Amino acid sequence: MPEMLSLEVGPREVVGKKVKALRRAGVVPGVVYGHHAETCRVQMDERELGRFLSRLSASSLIQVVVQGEDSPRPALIRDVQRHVLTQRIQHVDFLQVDLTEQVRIDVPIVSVGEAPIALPEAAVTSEDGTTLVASLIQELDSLEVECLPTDIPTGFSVDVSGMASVHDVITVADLQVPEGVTVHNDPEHVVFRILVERFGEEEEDEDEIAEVEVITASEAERRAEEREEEEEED
Amino acid sequence: MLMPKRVKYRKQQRGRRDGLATRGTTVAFGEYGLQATEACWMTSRQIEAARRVIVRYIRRGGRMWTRVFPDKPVTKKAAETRMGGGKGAVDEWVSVVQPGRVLFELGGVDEDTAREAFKQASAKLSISTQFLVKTDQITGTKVAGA
Repeated sequence: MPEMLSLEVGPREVVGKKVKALRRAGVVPGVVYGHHAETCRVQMDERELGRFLSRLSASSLIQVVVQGEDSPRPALIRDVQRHVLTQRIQHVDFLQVDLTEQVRIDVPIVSVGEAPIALPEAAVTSEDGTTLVASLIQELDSLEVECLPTDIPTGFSVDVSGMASVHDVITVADLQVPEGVTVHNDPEHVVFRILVERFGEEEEDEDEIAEVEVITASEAERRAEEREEEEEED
Repeated sequence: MLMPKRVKYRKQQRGRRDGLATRGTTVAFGEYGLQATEACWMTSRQIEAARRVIVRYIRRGGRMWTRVFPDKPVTKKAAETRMGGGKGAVDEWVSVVQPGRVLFELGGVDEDTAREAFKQASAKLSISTQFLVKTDQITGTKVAGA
């Protein structure tokens, strides 16, 4: 079991709209909750939290040390709300876990290496001037796993350097999952695939506003009824 | 030009666009994104012009996603028309963009290429924008590969 990082937080009395004042002062509000655990409102320094989070992976198990409490609370970071424009942290949810109880969590998938087919030099130009270019597409960013909190993998690294053909795919079943970890995704779900696109002369679109078919409310209802009838017949 | 294939009602009221975007605010498909920092009605012509600039710049390789769709009809009365006589005809289609909305995404290209493509695309838009790199929502760090 890897060593757990600790985060010191203070208890929070301020709730509701008044937490805006906390944020202005560089303090982030948060909450600790969990199965069979007493919910606790907390607050912490924004800069310290930012530094702390950057040392973790999304599925890291941490110790939340609430000032005034005797023992630290083992927890997962369930959610971090960020401002949509500034990306400043607005709020943090800690999910307190029982180390003997299984949890479900999303573990990130990251690619390692480069797919030879997706390199720029692998592009093929045909006689008519069009170029076929392959690129690596990641269809799935994380795996939903169930395991003990101490067994949670920090991430799944997938070596894509073997993807040399346009038909190559890596599915969930191809990933190496440690013992004691159950994956809840469909094993046939594609994680990485190769997309081939044709680049050539640009198409010229009409620059007009064409007529749009208008469906009136009664027409929409009639169509919905027709669809329902068809479904019933099937 | 982007526009809906069919609609339930031909004309709409203007509505409001205050506040920040609450959906479509993160880079979801590619590795880099162009995010609006102001509100606007983005017309189908602007979206198309920006899309073309991006496609032309990245030329080979990479994939682009357009995250906005102009589904709002905007009407206009004909020139030199007296008031009255009902609402004008549909003139264009727009997408209601609020600050924080990711407009375009790019994947499979390097960061410098994505930055320059989005800079040129931004010049086709009527609002200020910012460049986004895909980051982990929890740790706030750049996602590997991006």
